[in-house]
Order: sequence, then structure tokens, then C-alpha cells
Amino acid sequence: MSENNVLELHELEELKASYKLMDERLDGQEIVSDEQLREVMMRKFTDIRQNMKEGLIWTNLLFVPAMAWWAWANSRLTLFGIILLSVYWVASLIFRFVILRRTKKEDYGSYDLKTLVEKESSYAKNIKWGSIVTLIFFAVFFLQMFIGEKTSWIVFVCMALLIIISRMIRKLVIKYKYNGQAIDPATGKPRVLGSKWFTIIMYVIFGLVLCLYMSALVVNVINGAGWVGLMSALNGLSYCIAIVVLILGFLHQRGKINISRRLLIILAAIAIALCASIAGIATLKGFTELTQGSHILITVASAGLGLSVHKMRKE
Amino acid sequence: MNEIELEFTKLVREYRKTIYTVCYFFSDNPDDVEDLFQEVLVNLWKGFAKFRGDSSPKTWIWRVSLNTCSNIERDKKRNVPTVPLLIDKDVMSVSDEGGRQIKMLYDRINRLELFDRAIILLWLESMRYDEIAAIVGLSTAAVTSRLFRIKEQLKSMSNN
Repeated sequence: MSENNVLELHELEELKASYKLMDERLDGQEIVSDEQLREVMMRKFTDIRQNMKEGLIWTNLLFVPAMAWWAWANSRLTLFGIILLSVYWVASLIFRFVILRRTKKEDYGSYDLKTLVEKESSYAKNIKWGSIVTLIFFAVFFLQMFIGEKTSWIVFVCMALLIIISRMIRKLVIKYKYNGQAIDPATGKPRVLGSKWFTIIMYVIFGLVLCLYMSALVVNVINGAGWVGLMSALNGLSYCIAIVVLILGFLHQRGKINISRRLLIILAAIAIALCASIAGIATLKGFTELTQGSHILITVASAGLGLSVHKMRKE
Repeated sequence: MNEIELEFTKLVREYRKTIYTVCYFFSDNPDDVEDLFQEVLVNLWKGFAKFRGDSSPKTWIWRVSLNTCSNIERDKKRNVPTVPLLIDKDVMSVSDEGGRQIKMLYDRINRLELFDRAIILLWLESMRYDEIAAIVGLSTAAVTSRLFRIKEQLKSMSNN
């Protein structure tokens, strides 16, 4: 055995000795208290309450029907919109209650580490895509209400196609390039490919939403004369700011940027104050097309969603 | 306490050092150890009723501890209220030579990937390769080659 090898062997033995030393030092320590054990054994019941609480917070149990009712009352909901909202509502219920609850009830003793990592990655992916679909859904839904009913189905079909195509590309790349292994066996983590595609798709989707919005804005300004046109533009600006809050909140949650909560709150407040002021002025001046409250709801919901997503970042 | 609770308490007390060691090496800082320890206990308790002795209690404890710590480490979830551990703070302090040795071991292991951290801990525990393979879900051959790579990595850390 060479001198170098002996030296290396000695270093590994040193690590073992350190580990043994730690074990010896822990010998006399009680470590776990009766109070802690009691706390843990009681948690079986509190966990159920916690799950219920989280489920209620995160479902759109009340929000979606309220929004649907409002849109219906203002003649902004087509049959297609009703079907989409219903599907989304049921899907979000299933997602929150079934998948997330299942994640929390996982028995960590039943799996080896590799299986667990794979399962958790799959849950994480479900949660990630759930969040993306939610974001896209609301951004597009509000947009279609803003633009008008006629274009709504085209926008939804575009979004759906984008998602389906991106998923298909990912599946094909993994199948042919990585022989079907979505998890990198070397690191136990999902392939980076997912996040790369995910970023590109998100930019495309948000770009599309922004383009559609800008075109709608231009049409509104052109069609409206004088005060109406100006206020339509300002209304659009407030929605733009709310969408910026949504995008920034989302990018912060993904860890792509760091943005302070205070700044987002200020932007959200500006957006809401602007659209509320316009609604007030429009009421005084009798511009009926600007007094329906739709812009306030859209702006508040987008900005609120952005603030909620911002909070979801795991530090 | 009923019979199950008594059995659980006895098992946890018996393997408290194992749980602590895993939490220690998977924590980012000393404050995290308590959080991790509590999470491991919760998961042990959740799975205790289903544990029918298919594997040895030691293997089961290692499996739950490693799975919990590596998963929490990834997710950075901290949603369980913690109770302080009954441990003398001087045990892990670096005021003496022994403490410094343990800190050196922590620093090196903490720089490894999560999967590698689990494997090297099991190796340091003097487990057989087939036992390690059963806990981490790799083949014995894969564990052998992986351990070789990890040891090389640890050696290069000491050379640096």
C-alpha cells in the first residue's frame, strides 16, 4: 500500500473516530423529554384539523362561485365560461383535498429514500403545475372578461395548447434522451429540463396575455372619446400594475428574483386606488360603461393573487 | 399511557441517539436540529401503528429519520411547534478537541448531496452494504460504487 493510500485511509478512519466520539458523548444525554413525546402522540388529532384548515384556505370553494355569480349578473359569463369555471372548481377541490392530504399522510417508514424522493418530486410537480394552471386560469379569465366574450374561447384554447404541447415535449425528451428517467439518479432530483421549459413557457404565456391585453386596451381607447377614452386607458394601467404584481409575486415565489413584500403592497395599493378612483369619477360623470365595478374586482383579484403567491415562497 | 404509547416511548428512548445524529447532520444550523427531531418523531408516531416488524426497528428508525430529514431539508417546511431537547449544549460545542473533531465531521458531511449524506451516515454507523441498499433503495453494487465516490469526495475535502 502506497504512502498516499495509507494517509487517505487514516483520514477516513479519523471520520469514523469522530462519529464514534459523538456517539459516546450522546450516551449520557436524555435528549427526548416526556413532554415532547406527549406533544407528538397528541398530534395525530391536531394534524387532521390542520389539514382541514389548509384545505379550506386554499380551495376556491367560495371565491369561484362568487366570481361566477358576479360575472353572470353582469352578462360576462358565457356557457363556455360556466363549464370552465365548474371544471376548475371541481379540479381544485380534488387537487387540494386528495393530493395534498395524501402528501401529508405519507408513511415515511414504508419507502426507501429513493422511492420517497421520486414520489415527493412527483407531488412537487403536481403542486407546481397546479399553481401554474391557477395563475394562468385567473389571468386569462379576467382578461377575457375585460376584452369581451367573443375572444374568450380562443384565449383558453391557446393556453391549453401551450400547456399540452410543453408537457408533450418534456415527455418526449425524457423518453428518448433520458430513457424515461424523469429523476436524475445521480442527484435524486427532477431533471433540470423541466424548469428550463417551464420558464420559457411562462414567459411565452405571460407575453401572450400582455399582448392580448394591450390590444384590448388600444381598442378601448380608440373606441372611447375624450374622458371615456382616457379613463379606459387609466383603468387599463391599473390592471397592468396588478398584473405586474402578479408576475413579480410569481417570480419571487419561484426564487428567480427577490422583491420586498412592502413594494408589492405599494404597487397593489396604487393599482386598486387608481381603479377605485376611476370608478368613482365615472359614477359622478355618468359614464355607465366604466361604473360596473368589473375593473375593481379584476384588479383586486390579480393583485391579491400576486401577494398570496409572493407569500408562498419557501425560505 | 396505553400499550402502544408505552411501546413507542420505549423505542424512541432506545434510538434517541440515532434520531439525533441524523437530525444533526441534516440540519443547517444547531437551531434546526430541534425542528427536525420533532418532525421525525411525528413521522415515527404516524407510521408506528403500521410498523409490523417487517424490518428491524433499527432499520425502520433509520429509514424514517433519513426520509424525513432529507425531505424537510428539500422543502424547508417548518410547521410543527417544537419542544426543547434535553441535551447538554456543551456536548457539541467546539471548545475542546473532541468538539472540534465532531464539527469537522459535520462540515464535511453537510457539504455532500442529501442522498450521499444518508449513505455515508449509514456507513459510519457500520451498517452492511446490503442494509444500506435496503434503506436508500439502491442496489448493493450501486451503494458500493457510490460509497467509493463519496469517500473520494471526503478525501478531497480534507486535502483542500
